[in-house]
Parts: sequence; C-alpha cells; structure tokens
Amino acid sequence: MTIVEKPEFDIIVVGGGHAGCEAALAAGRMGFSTLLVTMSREHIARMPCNPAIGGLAKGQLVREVDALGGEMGLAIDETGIQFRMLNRAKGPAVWSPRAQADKNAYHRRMLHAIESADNIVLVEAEATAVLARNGMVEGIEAAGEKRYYAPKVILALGTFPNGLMHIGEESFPGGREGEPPSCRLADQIASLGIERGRLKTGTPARLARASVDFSRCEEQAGDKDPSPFSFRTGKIGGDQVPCHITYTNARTHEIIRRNLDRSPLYAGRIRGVGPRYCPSIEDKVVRFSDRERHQLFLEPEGRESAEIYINGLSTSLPRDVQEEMVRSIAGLGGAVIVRYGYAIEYDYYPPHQLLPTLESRRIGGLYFAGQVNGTSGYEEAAAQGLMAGINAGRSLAGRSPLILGRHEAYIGVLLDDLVTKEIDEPYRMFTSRAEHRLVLRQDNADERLFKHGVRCALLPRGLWEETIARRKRVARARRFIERHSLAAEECSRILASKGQGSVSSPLKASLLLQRPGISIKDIEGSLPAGSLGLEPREKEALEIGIKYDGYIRRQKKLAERMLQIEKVRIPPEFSYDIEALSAEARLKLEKFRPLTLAQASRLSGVRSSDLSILMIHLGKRARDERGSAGRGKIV
Amino acid sequence: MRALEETLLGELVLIEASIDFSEEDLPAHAPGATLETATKARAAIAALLESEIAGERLRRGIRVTILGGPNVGKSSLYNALLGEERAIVSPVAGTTRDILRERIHVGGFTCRLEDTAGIAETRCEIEAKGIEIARAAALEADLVLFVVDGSEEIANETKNEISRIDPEKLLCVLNKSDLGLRYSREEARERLGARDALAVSALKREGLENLRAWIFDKTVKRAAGDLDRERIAVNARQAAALREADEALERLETAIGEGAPAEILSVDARCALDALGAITGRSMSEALLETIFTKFCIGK
Repeated sequence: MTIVEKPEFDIIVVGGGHAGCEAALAAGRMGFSTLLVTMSREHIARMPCNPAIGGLAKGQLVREVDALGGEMGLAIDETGIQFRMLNRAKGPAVWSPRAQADKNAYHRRMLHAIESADNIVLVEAEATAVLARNGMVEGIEAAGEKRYYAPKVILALGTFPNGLMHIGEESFPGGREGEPPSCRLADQIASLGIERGRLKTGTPARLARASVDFSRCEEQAGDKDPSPFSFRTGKIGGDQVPCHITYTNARTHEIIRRNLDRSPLYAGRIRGVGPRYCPSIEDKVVRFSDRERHQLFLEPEGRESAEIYINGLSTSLPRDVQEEMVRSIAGLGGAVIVRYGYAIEYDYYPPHQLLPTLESRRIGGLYFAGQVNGTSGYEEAAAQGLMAGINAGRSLAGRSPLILGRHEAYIGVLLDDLVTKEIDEPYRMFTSRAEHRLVLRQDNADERLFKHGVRCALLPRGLWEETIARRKRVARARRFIERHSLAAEECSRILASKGQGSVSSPLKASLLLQRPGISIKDIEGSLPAGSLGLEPREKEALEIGIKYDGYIRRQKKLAERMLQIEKVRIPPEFSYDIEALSAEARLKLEKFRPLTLAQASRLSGVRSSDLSILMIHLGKRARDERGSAGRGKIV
Repeated sequence: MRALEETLLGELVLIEASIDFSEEDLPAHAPGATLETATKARAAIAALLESEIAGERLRRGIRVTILGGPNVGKSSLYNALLGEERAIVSPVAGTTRDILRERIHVGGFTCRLEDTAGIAETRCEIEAKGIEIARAAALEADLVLFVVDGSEEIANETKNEISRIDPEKLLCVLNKSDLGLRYSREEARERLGARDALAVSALKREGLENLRAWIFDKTVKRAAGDLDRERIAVNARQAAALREADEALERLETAIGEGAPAEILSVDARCALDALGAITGRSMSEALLETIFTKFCIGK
C-alpha cells in the first residue's frame, strides 16, 4: 500500500555526494525546508576516486563555491592533510590551490554540517521514482512505497544510475566500491521522457601503506605556508603529510600489453565513453606506446589511513594482472593491494536538456546536478549542486535566477558549457576553457562573487562590505604608484638586482612593476614609508592588477563584445525552420534551443553566417510582434 | 591559411598544456620556438595581405591608361577597344582634355580603360592641366598603352615621355598600321626603349585581338599566377581579420621578448587564432583540448 503524505518539504535533494551536500546546505541556509535522501548516511560526501580537492581549474571552482557561500572550501581547509598552490612558477592568474584530503575526516566534517544545519532532514532510503504531473515535479518515491512531496527536486545521483562495475573479465552492478547501484530510479527518470547516455570512468588500486617502500620514491612535500581554500578560513593548521612520486617502466608496460585481451576496455565489454584526460593505464600504454614511463603519485587516503592511492594507474585489468603490474614498479615491489582498481559505466542525462539554472526543460521544478550531467570531479559536482540549490530556492521565492556569466566565474563557464556543448565524454574543467582566465582568478573569487552569496543570503553582509573596503584600499594604492616616479638610479638598481638592463630616466613605480620579474616586494622599499598601507593579500591584488593591466582590459573588451549578443534573447518556441541556415546549424539549434544569441554562437556547427541569419529573423520577428508601433531593434 | 592556423595552434597547445597540466610529466614549453613560429606566421600573413591588394585589384578592375602624343589615335584606340563610339574623335589635335573612363572585359576580367589628353608642348592652360592629369593617371595605372603614330617618324619627346613610365607595365602601341609602318616592331622597341610593342590599326580594327591578349597576359595572368587559389580569396573582411591576427602576433613577439609568463602569451596567441578562425570558421577552443589530448598522455 502506498503511504501518501502532504507536501512537507520545499526542496528534496536526492543523493548525498558533493553535489547533493552543497544543494541541500544552500537550500537549508536560504530558509527552505529541505529533505536530503541518501541510501546511507555513511555515503555523505565520500570520495570514491582520488583523495584530493582542487587542482588546476578545480581549485578556482572551489574558491568560487566558497565565495558563493558553499561548504567545500571550509570542509577541506579543516580536514586537508597537504596543501599546495599549483602553477606558482607561472603568473597568479593560473595559480590553483590543491589539497590532499583525509577522506574519512572530510566525510565526517560534511555529515556534521548537514546534520547540524537548520531546515535539513536527512533520510536514509533509496529513491525509486520522481513524481511528476503535467510537466511539473511533485516529489519522489522512496523504497518503492514511501512518498515525499515538494515543488522542487534536485537529482544528484553520481555514478549510481545503472552503475555497472568491471574488474577484468568480471562485471557486476554497483554504484561504487561495495555499494549497490540505483537502477529503478534511473529507468524511471528515462520513462519521463528524459534522454540518457552512457559514460565510463575508473579508479586505481589502493595499497597497504606499510607495504610501500617510500625510500625508493621521490618525496613531494606541501607548501610551507599553506593557503586556505575558504575566504572564511584564518589559517591552515596541522602538519603537512607528504606524497611520493614513482614511475611505471618497460616491464609494467609489457605486463599490461600481454594482458590486454583480459581488459574489459579492450575486449569490448565496456561501451560507455571514458574521459580522454583521465585515461586508464591500459589506454596510456596503448595510445602512447613510445613513452618509456608514466608518472605516478602515491597519495595517502588520510592522515591516519593505512591506504595509499596510486594516482595515474587507473585500471580495470583482472586482479592478478593488477598485482603483477603494481609489483613491477619501483617502491611497490612488496606492495599489497587492499582494494582493486575498477572501471564503472553509468547512465547520465545529457545536459542539453537543461536550462542554465540546471532545471529540466521537460519537467518543471526538477533539477540535475553533478555526475548525472556527464561531468567528472568533486569540484564540478559541488559547483553544480550549489547552483541547483540556489536556483531552486530563488525560484520558490519568486526571484530571478542566478546565472553567472562566462566572464564572471568558472562556474559560469561550466554551466554554459553544459547547456551548449555536446557532452559525450565526462566533462572536466580546465583553465583553458575560460576565455577570461586572467580575470577569473582564485585570488579574486570573493570580489567577483561575494555579492551574489550575500544576495542569496548564504553569506553575511559584512563580508561583502569588507571586500569593498579592501578594493578601495587597493585602488588608492594603485593611484599612488601610478603617479609616483622613482629616480633613474633607483630603477636601475632594482632592475640590476633582477639581472635586467638599466634605464636613463625616472619611471613611474607602476611601470617598473609592470616589467616581468619585478614584484611589489622589489619596489616597496623605494616608496615612501607607509605609502601603500596594504595587507599582504592586498599587495598581491595590486601587483596582479598592474601586471595584467593591458591584458585584462583587452579581455574585458572581448567580454563586452560578447555581452552585446548575450542580451539578444531567442524565444523558447522560436522556429529554426529557416532555409538559409546550414543543415548542421539547424540541427544543433533545435537540439540545444539556446536562450540567447551568444549561446547559439557557442554551439559547434553554428557559424557566423548562421548567426547573421538568426539575427535578421529575430529582428523581423520582433518587428512583426510590435507591429507598426515601432521598429524592432536588435543588439 | 589552414597550415598557418595549424602551426599557431600547435604553439598554443604547448602553452596551454604547460598551464593546465603542469603537474604532468610533459615536455616544457619553449618560448623561443613560439617566437620563431610567430615571426614566420607574420611573414605568411604579410604575403596574404599583399595578395589582398592584388585580389582587390582584380575585383575592382585593372586600370589601363592610354597615353601618347596628340592625334596619334588614342581615342580611336579607346573606342576600338570599347567597340563603340564613346570619345569624341576629330582630326583636330587636343580633343580629349579630361580623362574618359569605361569598363571593358578581357578574358573574363574587368579592366578600367582610361583615355587621356595628348601630351605635347602647349601654352594653353587647360590643355596643360589635361596633360598633367594624363601623366598622373599613367603613374597610378596598372598598365599603360603608349600610343604612337606608326606611320610617322619617332620624335625625341616621345622617347623622353616613354622613359618616365615603368617598363613593366608599358606597351607601345604602333597605331595606324593601315597607313604602313615606318619601322618594324623590333626597331620600334629599340628606338622607343620599350620592352613590348604591338602594331594595330584602331581605324580598321586590326591587331586588337593581340592587344587584348597582351593586356590579359600582362595583368590578369600575372596577378593570378602569383597567387595560389587560397590567397586570391582574401577579401577586405578577411584582410581585416588577418591584420588583427598580425597585431596579436606582434604583441606575442614583444611579450616573449619581455619574458612574459605562459598565461600572457596565451592571450595573444588566442587572439591571433580567433582572428584566423573568423576566416576559416574553425573554433579554436574545440580544437585546443582535442589536440592536447591527442598529443600528450595526460591523466591521473
């Protein structure tokens, strides 16, 4: 018998991974009564793959999640065991924070956040159906009988939908190591008319820490002065735990080649598409056969954990081959495998079916976040969960959605890519995906996004006020060094200390700072004492602003050009039955149904000639609608 | 153009890989190699832009100016080439004072034919002005047809006048062949100091086919032969894009010279590729990651 309950929740979140946690926390903090459904509270914020948060481009995402009031940054700051700022050798625009995580501590920290949050109820159950009527979501069904009602449902199912795991010749249903998949829900979602696809990912074996000979590996230490992810974290505490580097060798590769016929990937048992940027070791050896070795990172799964993760050795080869392969590697001769690597195939729901708010175009009130959208990575998932939570809440409150621009945040790039690109392999963020990389830095995520976090009531107002004050101080200091000249001898002395040629006339301090290799520390001593009056962070902001000046302005100009066509909206029911459009463009436009001309411009296969044609037709339509009252103006 | 794009993309791939995959075991990005590529690319763009000038010339029409002394039959030749009576022809010297212009087609290409005032010593101010205009036109023209009366001896002034003209674009037209030429084409070439000479009779419409063939060979064929098919496609819009690419590459060269970091080099390299992409229709951002993954072994 079906038990029916009255709608007691505003928002239901299905799944307690990185997307689900951020979605539930955002919803709860915005004051909405929220239900988080997960198969087990032990599943909350687990890391089934590498024990790390952040990294290139991903670190920026975490900073942005934090600047919008998300939890991930705070959680990793408190539980991380090694912190490094990547790309330090390059300019600050591409610095990315990364931390080794303590998987259990992270899980406990996030579970605590959920359980201690106001407005969130956590229920342990398997969701089995999405309830929808007349194109609107109504709630969910759990365990085939219990119904929960809410006007908004966020699906954050991870790799569980029809998860199928592979180790060697064996394959068996599973959502993750030792956990059952979610099949009823996966099929039921598809029965609602939502298109699905199949992807694949994989993970390496875990080793017993005590069985690894670290003396035969290179050590990789954390930063001496670790930078936190969260703008709200004061200082990172605790000792930094090292990682180690080792390499595969000719013997390892020979073992892999000899056993390729037993690999589910190469024997054709896996049909899902895997990510090119995260290939299995089988793929690496086959595709790059000229490489003599591949780099591996040995990463502890936690401060106290007895397990070591082999970053770079993702595999689905049979267990005996995994063992032979591992033991051929320097430092791992006596290594004992605690858990074997596996590949997993799972259903995803291609995100061209979503609006940029992550709401389904087909079923109102139903949101998709995380790996179900074909992405990969904890950080990408967290960012989507947060945005789905925020937008579900704003919609309930009758407010305008929060849609971040590509020029505003990596999160904006992420969501825009999801709704304008063919996602046919797991999508991961890269800094090169962002056209405005120099502006989208990890150091200024607060300046870019605090205002939204505050507006959504996820952050206290004071934070934004502090940011504005800081910005003013930096601007004042900037005006000063743009006017203050340094004597030629002084400039030459500073330049000489960096091995650069001298100058014959005085230079403005800002111009000297603009030169590559010259930092604020080099010129500070030559300025009148106390003339800058800035904290270290503000000095850094000043230096970045000066150094990238011309380039940032150029990128901003480009952004403005794009904003022009961002404003040209395409009505949702617009007919692309226009003869002059290329066949490919028409197909793509009908599939993705872009909301703006700018989105249309980003669809592959839509060329500038197609855009011109669209513009003409949109203009004509606008004119027709306004009739004789006035002429339609486009752009 | 595609090749140019490929090489530049190759450099951008190295720059981007060094940023996005700095933790990987990848070959280091060498700014020196990027500089070399940028410099080569700029040379290629300069060649393309030159072809734009040639391309434009072909589209607008080749300018062919008829020049010569008074009453040698310039206007008759003009009319003969046009195939209709346009210029006023009279036996009185100095009838044409301004420039007459008309389009004709030679071998499928457009020519802008110009008839000018006869060049001679004069006291008349109006005539002098006409002569000045004629000389200026000849200077700017793509081709000059210098007409002489082949039935008369060659005057010294004629030789002087001819020496002012770029021999590359000059043809001496020995008109009035129907009256009997005083000298052969070879003699004429020698005496006039011209590389090419042709005998025609504008009045009888004789030798015009040879004249047309010469115009065709000299201009259209040369312009087209210089340029491969792709180059000839450079129009004004594409040229603007090429100039944008060139400016970006110039900035890239400067940035490399100053030792700027990878993320700065990337901005300029992307600008250049974006500009080229506007011509080829290729999206750089899609090609970029595709190439990185094909070229390098990346992944945890």
